[in-house]
Amino acid sequence: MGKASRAIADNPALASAPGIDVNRVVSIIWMAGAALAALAGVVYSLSNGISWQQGFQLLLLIFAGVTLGGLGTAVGAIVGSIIVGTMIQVSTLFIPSELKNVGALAVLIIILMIRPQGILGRRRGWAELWIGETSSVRPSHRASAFRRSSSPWPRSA
Amino acid sequence: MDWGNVFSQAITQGIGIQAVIFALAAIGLNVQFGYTGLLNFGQSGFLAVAAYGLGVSIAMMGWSLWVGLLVGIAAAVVLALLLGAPTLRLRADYLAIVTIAAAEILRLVFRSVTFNPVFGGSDGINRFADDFYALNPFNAGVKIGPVDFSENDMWIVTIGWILVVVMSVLVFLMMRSPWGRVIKAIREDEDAVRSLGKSVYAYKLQALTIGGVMGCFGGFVAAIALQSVQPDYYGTDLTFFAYAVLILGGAARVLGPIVGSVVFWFGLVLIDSALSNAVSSGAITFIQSTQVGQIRYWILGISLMLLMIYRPQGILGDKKELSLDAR
Repeated sequence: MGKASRAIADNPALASAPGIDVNRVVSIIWMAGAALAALAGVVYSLSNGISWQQGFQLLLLIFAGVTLGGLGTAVGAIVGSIIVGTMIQVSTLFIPSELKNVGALAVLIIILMIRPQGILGRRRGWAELWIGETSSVRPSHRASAFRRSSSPWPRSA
Repeated sequence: MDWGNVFSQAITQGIGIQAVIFALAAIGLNVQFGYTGLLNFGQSGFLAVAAYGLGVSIAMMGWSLWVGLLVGIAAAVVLALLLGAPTLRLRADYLAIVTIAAAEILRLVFRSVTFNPVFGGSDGINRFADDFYALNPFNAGVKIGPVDFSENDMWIVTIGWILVVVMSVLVFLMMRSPWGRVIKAIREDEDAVRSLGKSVYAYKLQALTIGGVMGCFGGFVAAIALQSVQPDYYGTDLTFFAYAVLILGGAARVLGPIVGSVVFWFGLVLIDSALSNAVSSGAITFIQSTQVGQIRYWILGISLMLLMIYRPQGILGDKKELSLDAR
């Protein structure tokens, strides 16, 4: 399942060639992600109460935590989230408490500019972030496939 | 059930202030997302800096309306450059995350108590549009058939639609030009454009800036029409509504944002008035009148989901030119 999902992330058309059922894997991944998020919501509500807006308020901070830690690694998500969470609360010592989320979001933007793969992001897999970069180590077909699948627009023809 | 009133309200709002604001925001998004393929989820940030630029210049600094407009446009350009310069070299998702974070930062800063003397906190800035309404040539409200506007509303709606037409003509001319061809090519296949020697980064930055400036006029109309600039109006809801308007009308089409905005607001106000009317006249008994606002958004959300699944190109779109990968 893990290998199948990584194959689909890289190139969905190519992944279905050896018989991976793309839709089934994607559904399972969505369900697993939703289950984890639901668990997180329950744990959050145990200490903070339930509010109809709690998900949205956390959304950007979740993005910040995951991106900081490095997309594509589970340990990265944990590390990034701990750092973001601690930083938000500690920052209230220095900046007004209503702006504590601003600090986290600002750090997110700065991290994305300096090191877009995050703290623990895989250097090899995410070097393709720099679209203009070429490397003699990476096979060129994989590079171009990754870049094209990164666009939300369809590939021509 | 007073259907006449329901429809007249819906038609009035369908071509009214909100429709104009979202048409302008969607035209800007059209240039960025529809034609260039940039995922800008911070369009509300552009509208916010423009509106606050205008409001702060007039209310705090005491400058004239025209200087305020220039300040707002300059703020939108600076925001576009700040957002685009570092992130346009990265994958599309990164621009999305950075723009949504930037828009939220702007909203929180504008809302904060710390900056209350400058930005007015959560109350915002009020009473700065008098210069504009002093130029109003309409002496009385306008009532033509089902449409009913007060004289101030009529003035800003007229100016707003003139702006929409001017922007649409500009977009049409831009996209027919060689520059527009490169932009559309970037959307389809960046590597091919790069192989022809064009600087994709420069074109994307230009598209982001132009889209941002067009969208910021929506912020001006919002500030002047509502006669106040409030931070909570410029949240992520506004961005998502602008996307809904754009996709409904058809991205990458000149008339898409206009059609989408009119249909969207007509539909929203129709559902709202019909439900409120039905509840207050007793035709529907299982809903209270305070729940109508939320139910309207349910229906809106479900309609948008159905739209994305069954007709992602929207009303005017071309299926070959746009197909959002729904995954």
